[in-house]
Amino acid sequence: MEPPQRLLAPERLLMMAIELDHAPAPVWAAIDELAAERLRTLIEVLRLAPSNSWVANDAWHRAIDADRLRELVDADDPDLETLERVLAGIGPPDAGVLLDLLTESDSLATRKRLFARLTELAPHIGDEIVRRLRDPRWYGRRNMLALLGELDAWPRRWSPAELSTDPHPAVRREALKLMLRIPEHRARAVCGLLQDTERRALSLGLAAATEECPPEAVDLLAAIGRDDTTSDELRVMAVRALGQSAGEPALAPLVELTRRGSGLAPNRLAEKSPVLLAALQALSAFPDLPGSARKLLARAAASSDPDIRATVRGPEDPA
Amino acid sequence: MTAHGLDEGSDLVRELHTEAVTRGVVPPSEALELVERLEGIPASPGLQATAHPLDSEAEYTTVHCLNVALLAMGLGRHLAYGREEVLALGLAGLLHDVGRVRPGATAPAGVDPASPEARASVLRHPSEGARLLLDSGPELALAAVVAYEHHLDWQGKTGYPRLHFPRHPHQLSRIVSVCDTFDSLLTERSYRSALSPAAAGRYLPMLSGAPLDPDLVTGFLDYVGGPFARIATPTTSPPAELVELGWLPETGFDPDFEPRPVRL
Repeated sequence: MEPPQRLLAPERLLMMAIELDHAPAPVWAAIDELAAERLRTLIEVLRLAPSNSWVANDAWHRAIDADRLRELVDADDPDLETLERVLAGIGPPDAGVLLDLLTESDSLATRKRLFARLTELAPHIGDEIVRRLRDPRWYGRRNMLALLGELDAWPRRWSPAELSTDPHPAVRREALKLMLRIPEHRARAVCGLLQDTERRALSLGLAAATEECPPEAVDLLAAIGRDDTTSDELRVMAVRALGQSAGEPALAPLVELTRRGSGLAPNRLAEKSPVLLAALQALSAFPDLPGSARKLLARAAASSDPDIRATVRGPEDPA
Repeated sequence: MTAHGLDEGSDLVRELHTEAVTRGVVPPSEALELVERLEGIPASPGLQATAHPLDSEAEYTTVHCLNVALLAMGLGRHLAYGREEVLALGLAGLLHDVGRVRPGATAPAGVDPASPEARASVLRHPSEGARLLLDSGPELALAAVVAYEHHLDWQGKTGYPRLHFPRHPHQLSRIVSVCDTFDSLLTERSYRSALSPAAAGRYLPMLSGAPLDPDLVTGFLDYVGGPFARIATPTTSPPAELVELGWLPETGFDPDFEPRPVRL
């Protein structure tokens, strides 16, 4: 016969203490031993404990402190199952540690896990997230904005507009992205993104304008469409956004992008380019065109270039 | 400790119980000292010791705890456990029923033992004992576990207290359960008469598997069938004796014995 387990497994003592609702010093020693040597076992016992057990609750807080979490998160070869269970067991009162780790961790995989758990907690910790928007580290502010982005409703009296002029482009972009969700801030957000020097912000603004173009953004879109230092891809997006607006203010810039020449030959088509093709396509979709615009489209329809003809006529029958 | 010293042992158990009642803890060093003295009982046949008359529930508990400690240590040695385990068994056996001596742990005198009140107090004593032993220090943590688990069946499925975490009781708890059951069978209780050692030995296999660990029942019967097992006979008339527990058919044979479930 096997001799008795030598001599007492700490988890047995912990289970009994939870069942008794009684935990004097020997129980805490057992918890410390488990936390140091077999954290997974400890977590499993605590996970299965009655939800109203103060022993389990205190054991959790004793075992899972900030240092232990950091240790788990920063391990070279992290025990992901244990980490998941630990994260799942952390409630809103202890979310501050997760927020710290989200900002501090160097591991993208870890940040993703932390972010996923914080997303679940976010509805309960909105005020804490907003408080951390004052983090001097730009990535700290960006992370908090990203978390706020996961919420259906933000804490009262908070608006992302306060970070829309942040010195760091990633923070600005995140703030403006959130502003797009607020109808009264949307036009301001689109204009802010279109004026941003960062390409990702600009792309975001162009995508938003293409979806629904506010009148305030027309001049900015026209400027981007004209700017030959900007990539064709972004200029084409700007032209499409103008076409999407289908409003009077967008007509002049589209006509301007379609033609070249002086007063003697005002209706010559501009040189073939992705921007020209996009502008012609946008114009041809306009409902009521003035005569000058119709002449440009007629020239395009008569062009010797099949691509240009196709933009205004649609694909031609090869036969 | 000599055979005569077993009497002294009863006094020490009584003192431990008094400490438990008055201070709410058992002094670990004194408990261990007593177990070390029990360990020194020579294994020569014919040894005798007197015991106090069992004129109260407390007296019964005192002698019973001493007996269970002796049986558990003897079984541990029989199973070739090391000294550490044997001493742990002695402590666990000695203290397994300490919950019965706490104020309010047992039904007041005069209460019908079959009443719900008395039953509730019986059901409480494992938890009461475990709490008290946990409060007494880390040296008694294992004894606390045994006190808590000794009325569970060997797989932890039935018995009391009810477990939130399903588990087999600790090996020492299962050993103490067997020794506890056996010693209880030798004692006259309000709900049944005492069995002779031989009759108890014949009855024990009927409890093998439910609620007792079948391997340990086999081991126990093998052990008490040998020449070295001795206990203080729980009797209401002094002097109590240490008796040999050889399973010769003629030893203590009880012709009226009828197997029936034992209320543990």
